[in-house]
Amino acid sequence: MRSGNLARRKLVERLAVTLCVLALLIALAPLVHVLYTAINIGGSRLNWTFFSQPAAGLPYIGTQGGVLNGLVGTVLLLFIGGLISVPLGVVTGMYLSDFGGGRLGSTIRAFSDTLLGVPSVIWGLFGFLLFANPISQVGLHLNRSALAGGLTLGLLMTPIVARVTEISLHQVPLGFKEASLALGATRWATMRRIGLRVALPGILTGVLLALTNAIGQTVALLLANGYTYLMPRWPPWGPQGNVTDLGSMIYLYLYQPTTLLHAPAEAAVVVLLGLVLIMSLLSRALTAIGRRNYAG
Amino acid sequence: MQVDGSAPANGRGATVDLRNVNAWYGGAPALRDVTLTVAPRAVTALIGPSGCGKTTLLRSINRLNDTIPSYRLTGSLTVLGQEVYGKDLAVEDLRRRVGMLFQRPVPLPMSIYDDVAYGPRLHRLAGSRAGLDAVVEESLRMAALWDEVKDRLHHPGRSLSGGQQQRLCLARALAVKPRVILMDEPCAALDPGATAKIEELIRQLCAEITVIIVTHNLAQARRIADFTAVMLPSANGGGELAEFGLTPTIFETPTEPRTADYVAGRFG
Repeated sequence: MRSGNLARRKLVERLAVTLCVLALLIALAPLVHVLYTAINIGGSRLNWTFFSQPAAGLPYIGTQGGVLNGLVGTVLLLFIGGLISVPLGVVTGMYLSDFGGGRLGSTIRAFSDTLLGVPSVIWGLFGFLLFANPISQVGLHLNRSALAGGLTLGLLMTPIVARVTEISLHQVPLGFKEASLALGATRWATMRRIGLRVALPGILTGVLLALTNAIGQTVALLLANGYTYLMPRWPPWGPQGNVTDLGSMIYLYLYQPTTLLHAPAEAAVVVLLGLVLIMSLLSRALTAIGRRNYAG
Repeated sequence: MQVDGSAPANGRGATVDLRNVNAWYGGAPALRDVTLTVAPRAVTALIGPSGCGKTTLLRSINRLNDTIPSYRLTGSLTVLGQEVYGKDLAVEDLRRRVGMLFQRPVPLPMSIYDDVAYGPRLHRLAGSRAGLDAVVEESLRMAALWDEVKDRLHHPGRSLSGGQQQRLCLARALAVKPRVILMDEPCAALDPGATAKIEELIRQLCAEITVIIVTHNLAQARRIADFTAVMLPSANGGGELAEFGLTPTIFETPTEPRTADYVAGRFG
């Protein structure tokens, strides 16, 4: 009787595990398919030339050369985005974690959480009107450019950085904070000297998360940065300030009326996924460091 | 110290003085009408069962309970003649003069040197690098830790043993030259050997510094405290001061029957 019951429970257990594995496989299938297709179609282009040269070729630019303009442009956009979002987001997170208990704090938190869900196209429209559009009434009139695109990315990254900073600072052990306060440190000094030090790996993880998110904001970038097949030029604003980002490059290659650009587009997919993979591995490593350093 | 049988009669000039102090966490009472004058340059132990407000009392003296929004205190609590909960008191200044040692040793996430230098750097107590070195060495010597760590000052404090970590925390507290040190069961997480070292240090420190120590270890209170305050549950919730006096008196001839029961181990 008892053993029969046990056999049944073991069966249920096995069934549950099977279902979980099945769900995982279904979830992973698209990624595997995308990678397989990309390597299958674009694999022949993935050589040193592809990484070391900008797009070239006639009549369709991209049939020759490589992806260097897209790589450099993407890194430039993410760099500007980080320059804006890291200070803004970290300071917001610091405020929310230690001073944001009142009504102002919860209002800021609610706004910030809403911003997390704003779609790419709306960010793009906002970035276009406020930063790019040279004839808008209110704005910076930067034209579609790296600076306008980067600023837009910076704004959409800020709520992510702020949220992760707040969470990381919350996880700093209370003992550290009290030890610092008991020595006569102000709350600000405690956060700066102890909190940030302990929360740093977590905050960096958040920054990488935000960058990984930003790298795929193709629609926002098409609106605020536009597109070019050229290498970035100086200055990164004005009519010639636009740069290439990998997402838009893939999109536009696939929409040309030719199959000749499918190979470089799929090769660019591999590069983009590689970038995301590197950033995600980095953030995992940082999380592990943070856990090892100051757990508990 | 000279024990003349009683705490100073006029409490207003004393190091730490409480007059009719009541405290609440939200609506829940924590302290009931506590009046207590702590003798300067002596060790005062706070003993009593859990939940009688010993830690609350301790954390009120340096206002560390400010971190709890619902915490409220009435009455008069003075440190070095200054009203602790008064409007014109700078709490950072108060905490510089009133150090604290916690139940679990908390080495800060930095090197031993930086840990001890944390306070002096905050308050800019040392003018130069050499001055800071001197403060760090002096503090570590006072905490009897210098000889054990002088060759690895730049290792993390976490690499030390539990007892060493607690002495490091003591050195950190001493580095800002406090007049009072509050200790919240500083030996609860330590083995007997490490405990003995800390107790010896406490006896040395009280030549210059007023020590107030919360302990659940009655034998420890007997060993190190000049004065003992017994806190017991109040009939209306929270804790009250049941008896206060010289340690031998409290343990041998207490006037309150409840104190006698507690120190004899009949409850607690």
